Amino acid sequence: MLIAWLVDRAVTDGASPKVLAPAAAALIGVILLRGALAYLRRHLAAGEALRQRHRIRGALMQRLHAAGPARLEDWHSADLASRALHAVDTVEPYIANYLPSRQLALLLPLIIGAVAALHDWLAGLLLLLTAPLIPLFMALIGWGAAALSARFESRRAQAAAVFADHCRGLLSLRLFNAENQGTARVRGFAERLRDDSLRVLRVAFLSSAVLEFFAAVAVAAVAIYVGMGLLGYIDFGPAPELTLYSGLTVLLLAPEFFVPLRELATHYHDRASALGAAEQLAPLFALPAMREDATESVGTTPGPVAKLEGVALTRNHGQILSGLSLELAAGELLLLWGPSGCGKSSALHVLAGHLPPDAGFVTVAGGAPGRPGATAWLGQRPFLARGSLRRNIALGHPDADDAAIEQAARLCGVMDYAAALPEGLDTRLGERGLGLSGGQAQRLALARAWLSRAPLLLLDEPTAGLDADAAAPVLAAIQALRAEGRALVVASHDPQLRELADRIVDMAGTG
Amino acid sequence: MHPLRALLPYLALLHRRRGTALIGVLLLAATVASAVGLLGLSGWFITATGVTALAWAAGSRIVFDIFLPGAGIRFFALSRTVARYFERLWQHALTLDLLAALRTAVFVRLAAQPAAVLARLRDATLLDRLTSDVDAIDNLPLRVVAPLAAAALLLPLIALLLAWLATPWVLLPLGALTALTLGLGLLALRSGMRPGRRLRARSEALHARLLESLTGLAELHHAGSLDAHAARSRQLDARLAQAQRRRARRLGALDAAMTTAVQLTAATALLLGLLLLDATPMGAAAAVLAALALLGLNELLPGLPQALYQLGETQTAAARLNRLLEGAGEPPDPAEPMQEAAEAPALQLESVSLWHRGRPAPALAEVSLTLARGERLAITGASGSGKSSLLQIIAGLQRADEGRMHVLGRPSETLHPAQWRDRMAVLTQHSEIFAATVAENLRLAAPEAIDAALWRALHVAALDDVVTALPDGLDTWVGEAGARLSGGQARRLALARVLLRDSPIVLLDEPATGLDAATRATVFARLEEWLAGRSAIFLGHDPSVLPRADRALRLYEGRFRASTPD
Repeated sequence: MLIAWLVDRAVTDGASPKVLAPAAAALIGVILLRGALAYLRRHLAAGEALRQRHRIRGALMQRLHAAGPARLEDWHSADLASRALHAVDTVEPYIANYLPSRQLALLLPLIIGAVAALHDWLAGLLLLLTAPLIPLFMALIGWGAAALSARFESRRAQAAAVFADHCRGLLSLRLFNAENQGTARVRGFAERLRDDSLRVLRVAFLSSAVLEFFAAVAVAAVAIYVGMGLLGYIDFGPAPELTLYSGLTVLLLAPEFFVPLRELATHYHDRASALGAAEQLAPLFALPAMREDATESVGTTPGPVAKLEGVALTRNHGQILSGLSLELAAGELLLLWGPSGCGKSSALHVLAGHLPPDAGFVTVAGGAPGRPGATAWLGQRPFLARGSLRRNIALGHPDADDAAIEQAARLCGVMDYAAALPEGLDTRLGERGLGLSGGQAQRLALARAWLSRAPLLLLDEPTAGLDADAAAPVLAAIQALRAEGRALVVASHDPQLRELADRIVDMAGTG
Repeated sequence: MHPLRALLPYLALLHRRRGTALIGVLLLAATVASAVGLLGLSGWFITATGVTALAWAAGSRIVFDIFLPGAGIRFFALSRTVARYFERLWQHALTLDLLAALRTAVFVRLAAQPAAVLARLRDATLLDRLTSDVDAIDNLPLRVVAPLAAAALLLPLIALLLAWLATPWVLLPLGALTALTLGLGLLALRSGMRPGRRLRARSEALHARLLESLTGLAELHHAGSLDAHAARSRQLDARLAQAQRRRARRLGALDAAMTTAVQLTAATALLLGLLLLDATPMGAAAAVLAALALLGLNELLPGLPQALYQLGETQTAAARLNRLLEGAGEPPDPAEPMQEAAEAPALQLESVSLWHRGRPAPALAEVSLTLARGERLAITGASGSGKSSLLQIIAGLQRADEGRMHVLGRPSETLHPAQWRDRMAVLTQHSEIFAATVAENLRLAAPEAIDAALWRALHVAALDDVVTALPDGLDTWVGEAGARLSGGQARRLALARVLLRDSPIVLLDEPATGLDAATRATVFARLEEWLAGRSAIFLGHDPSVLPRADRALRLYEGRFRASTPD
């Protein structure tokens, strides 16, 4: 399609000085057509690029979700979200700009050179002789841009990280009256980015300057050759046969010959940033998934709700579980006891199916762990979604009706504080739910777990950071869930929970 | 107020570099002028030689100088290359310089904001918004101002030259082209505002959603809500893509319209020239010159309306940034040094009250407390009991709504908060580890500290063994994009940093978060010695996670309750 406009343009632009009226009309027609085609090209390229980006982002999120919470613990979720948004965004200009211009840079110069050769084979030859130089140009651009991408992108990322990081920590800086130090670091990194980049750019731009130079010299050489030929000063080759028409055509084609290459050079940084982004995304796409066999439904099977047999687990910092066995019946509360770092959380992850054990067996509700509906998870910091209290409870069971949500809220003590709010359960939580205290958030998470109807509840330090007054309603909610026949596994080192537990597994000895 | 006024503070940064910017504009103009000259002169040369050749064939012996135009063509070929190289380098230097200035300026203004604004920056969504807003502003000069100025400089020059060389009638299509560029530019500017806002809003909605699915992954997965949540994310992504597709379509249309307009102008100039000037021998040559010279404008004009269209996004970013930075901020640092009253208690609070906006109950209700010199006080309370508010008031991050406070015998209202912060070592619940080396992180608290002092502080925090094991010891890069410390290690690094401050008053909020019992015992034992001679307040949810204190108070719903000796 692009070829069409170029060929057409070449023919008519060249012809226009000769035949006026119809040629003029044709010229205007071709100019309009060229505009329309250029528009179409951009439109199609953008559409395709956005489709690809959507697909990649979807795949990335699917991969992250499949990897499960335990494997994502090594990253900040804010870092992951920013990669999923901004790093994936760089795909779009890469596909929309760089890829098409690479194809065109290979194809168009050949066609234009051939057309020029039809009009004057020597001028065409002059252009085509530069054709072997094209790979050289590409290498030059590539070499310049490789240096550019490696240094420039990493410097830029570093400077941006320092800026974001110091903004986030400004309050900490103020406590040390160290805002000026922060300013100095932000400025220092930005200025280092400037100086380092310029050193790289000075060389990198040289490669495209060489390209520019060839383009300009080619135009000049063709112009002078054609002029001399027309005057009859050149009497070898096809020069004597040159007419004004063919001469002008060749002249007009000469700059077009280099346009695709120049376009490629300007879009080369799209490739560099896409490559940088790919480096960020590669480790995320390499994450292994949690168990796949999550198809069987959860029924009320007789027997233990959860069972571990000889479970061993090694994580990146060494073996943390070895030969752990336990069994849990409905209505039981089992406490995993021990200091932090002894593997309590890892045991919960195994029960939740987030991590497959290296050895041993896990059964939850008569099947594989991690099936939706089998387990409810209550993390150390309860997850609060944007939106109302009601929406937060309903996350436990998306199809639940209002009556069930309100019952959950009453049973787990959410109503105790929600009733005093002007909008009750419809009160919206602030950014990241800052409006709730730790105990209130825990009760909300318990209400969510109640609503989910899951037979097994996994709780990580539900009373951490709570004093006796705040812990009491949380413990009451835990008791209410137990009374309903739910089985609970709680990781904690809180003596109050020790009193409630049916059984205690001392994890200090297992690791 | 016109929405574009939001950009003024950022244009002021450019104004301060107007000399540099002017050279950039001149270089850009020289580049375009060279392109115009190269094409125009070449076209003229060929046509002129063609015409001369025809005349010679007809027997005429007119003189045609081929050397001067030939030299001109070679000159333009060279000058275009050189001008372009330096133009690119110069503009990039300017952009990067402006980026440095912009980041610094934003940071300085941000650093002067009240603590409540700073605390909000811990929210990942808000921080992401801030950084992408700054990024959206940084290319303003290169994309908009420089081409605009270069166009304003070049167009009249080219018009005059062509009118003189070819025919004044050339002014007609050129005038039309200028008017069209201006018209399209204004149209683009106006119509780009709303899409720009929409685009930003949709991008943020998607970010918030993605973040939510990652923080709540376990809960959503087990509740079976993950698929629905992910589907909604994809929907938001599609809506963002839809807005971007629309933008790409508009930009493509503007580009096509402008390129077509430039070419039509050239064609019109050519036709006009041929019609009007064919009578003279060199008329055709001049017509070709005008046409080809105008084609050279394709290097400059098509980008202008596109840049103006995208100004909508820049404007949104700038306006939002301005709103974040509009707070009055802290007063400038005081000139007078703080005089201590030697005999007075370290801290004295009398009936201090604090309300948070939008909450019916006060965060602190008439709290009074005295911290004697050398005393250690434990204050316990649940989250939400007012501990953090109390710490913020004592640390001078927030002013109390009612009541009085004395620091080392001086009434707080006669002091600048920075003055009494100099006498305090404060560990908050969130103490950030920065993207920097271990040593740099530590020296934030004491810029002059020597390495031995750093190691001493690390030893008290029981972190010296960990740092010794790091690949570059004190010079290991930690924080974002560095060696990752575990939660407990990061906490101890923050504690070590606080210990570097040689201050009479110490505030430690939940100092043992993330520390196991054994490490906690080690750290608390080593703290004893360091605390000797200092006055300290420890805050925590439970006395068992705090160092040994002389006295304990319990905070409940913003008031002190009678303490229960354990």
